[in-house]
Amino acid sequence: MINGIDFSMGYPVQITLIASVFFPIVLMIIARIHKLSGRNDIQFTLSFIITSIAWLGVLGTESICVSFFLYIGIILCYLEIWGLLSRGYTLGLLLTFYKANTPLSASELAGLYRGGEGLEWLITHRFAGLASAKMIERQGDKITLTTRGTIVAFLYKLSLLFFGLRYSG
Amino acid sequence: MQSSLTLSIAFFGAYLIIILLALRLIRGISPSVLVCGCALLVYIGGLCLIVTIGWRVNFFSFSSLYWFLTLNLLMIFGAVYKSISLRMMLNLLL
Repeated sequence: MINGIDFSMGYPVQITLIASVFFPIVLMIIARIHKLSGRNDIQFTLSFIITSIAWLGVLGTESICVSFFLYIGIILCYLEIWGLLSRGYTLGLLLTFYKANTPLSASELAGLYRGGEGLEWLITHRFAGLASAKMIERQGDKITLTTRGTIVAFLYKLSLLFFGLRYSG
Repeated sequence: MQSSLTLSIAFFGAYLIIILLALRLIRGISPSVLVCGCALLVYIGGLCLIVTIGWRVNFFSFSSLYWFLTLNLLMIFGAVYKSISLRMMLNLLL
């Protein structure tokens, strides 16, 4: 206890911290399974499920409140890092520069992005993701929002106003 | 533990108000830096305030809920601020 702040760590917190240390190890193992190669979302979800089952199994149901906040908070940190690594556009550009090891023009950079798939891949990938989530649909040679997509885009517009952001994306 | 969790919610509320004001009033600093910096400042400031006033709180209870709420907000903020997919959908909406 230091000036009113109690630093004592109960059993549930200890178990939660141990589970949090094991999570990236489980993720590293699952990411190397050949069948799941390229399925970053499934890799993360599967690691989360395995670690959570082990965490709950050891913890039981007592004193779960603080442990839950701590565990999910740490998993959210991992998710942020994982999201940046698997979907980070800016990091992808930096990696392209690093791999090229030579100054690149804008067109060369666009062509070499993501191991030669080019910047076109980015838009195709994102549109494919939106289509599989049923947010957009093709109508002839045009793309339109579905009802679900319209709701999400409207909520996004409200969120921009809520945060007072002028630029995004 | 009850007071630790209540204080976490109070400081998170303060953080939310601070970032909403900061994002509207402060120009010249990246919004990402603002929201992350404010999260740390409110947390450290909160701990200092607790020590100064002499409230009795459990460090892990206080920190876990504060960061749980803050990280959820930061996830939403990150998606709103940086998501290319959401931006494309907004362009389709307009």
